[in-house]
Amino acid sequence: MQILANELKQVNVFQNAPDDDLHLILQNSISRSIEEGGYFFFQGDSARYSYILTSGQVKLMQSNPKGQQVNLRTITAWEMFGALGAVHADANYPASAQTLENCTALAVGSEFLHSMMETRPYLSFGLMNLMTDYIQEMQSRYRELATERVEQRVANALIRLAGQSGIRSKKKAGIELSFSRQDVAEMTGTTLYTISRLLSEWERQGILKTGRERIQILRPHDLVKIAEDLKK
Amino acid sequence: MPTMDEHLHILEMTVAEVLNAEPAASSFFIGWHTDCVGCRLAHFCTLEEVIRVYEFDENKFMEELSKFNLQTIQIRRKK
Repeated sequence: MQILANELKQVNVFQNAPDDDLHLILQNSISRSIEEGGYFFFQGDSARYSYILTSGQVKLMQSNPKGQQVNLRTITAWEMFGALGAVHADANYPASAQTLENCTALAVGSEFLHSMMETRPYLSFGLMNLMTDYIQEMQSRYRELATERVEQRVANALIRLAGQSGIRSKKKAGIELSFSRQDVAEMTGTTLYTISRLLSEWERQGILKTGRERIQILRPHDLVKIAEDLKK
Repeated sequence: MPTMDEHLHILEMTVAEVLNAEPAASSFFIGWHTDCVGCRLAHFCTLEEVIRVYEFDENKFMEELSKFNLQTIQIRRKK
């Protein structure tokens, strides 16, 4: 798939980039296609490339030495990920990037991006924005983990996933999420048993519907009510 | 007053579409005591759903909303 320079404007980090820079970035990148379930990089690999997802969805996940995993974030098309190397030379990826479907991404050399940042403030600000978004999300999740009931945490996780990667094909249809119960358990720091119990209860109430590797939110407002502890 | 057709189109607009086109409409949603302003699912929820969920009187709701001239936005969207 041929990517055009002006398509890169869809990437938040590059929204203020002049056309010459977009061409330069494109010339200095390689296109990588990874099949569903494959990896763009693994946790601990040298962060030599920063990626721009051009199609598909990728999940960023971190695991501990025992092999337990936590889903950190879902990346959708025209988002940048794995950009740590552009800021820290010799950095390693703190998480693995696994594809949720067939994906294509542009890999831009981290060293090259770093050299661009030295003379282009828009790029530094763009990456700072990206990082502060990540930090804010993590702060919210930490607060949820420390203070909220498990129902609220799970509802918040589903709403966050819907906001990041949910699809509503028709206005009156449910919001489709391509995540399994295990994914949600990993995101919320709870067990598969608890997630199954909660989702089954919500399914019984008609709030959502679950299937293999997918969750369909049928009554978004009811989920928000649980997440925000609203009365109506 | 919007025509019947325009009325139906407006009902299908999402809260986010309304707020993007008419930021001043935030006071409308707050005035009706909804939690729509700032909601993370505002780009999924239609006005029809808001009316149903909060059990509002559709005619009153739409009449008050009509001061924001959403028909014009509808026409712009269709173009």
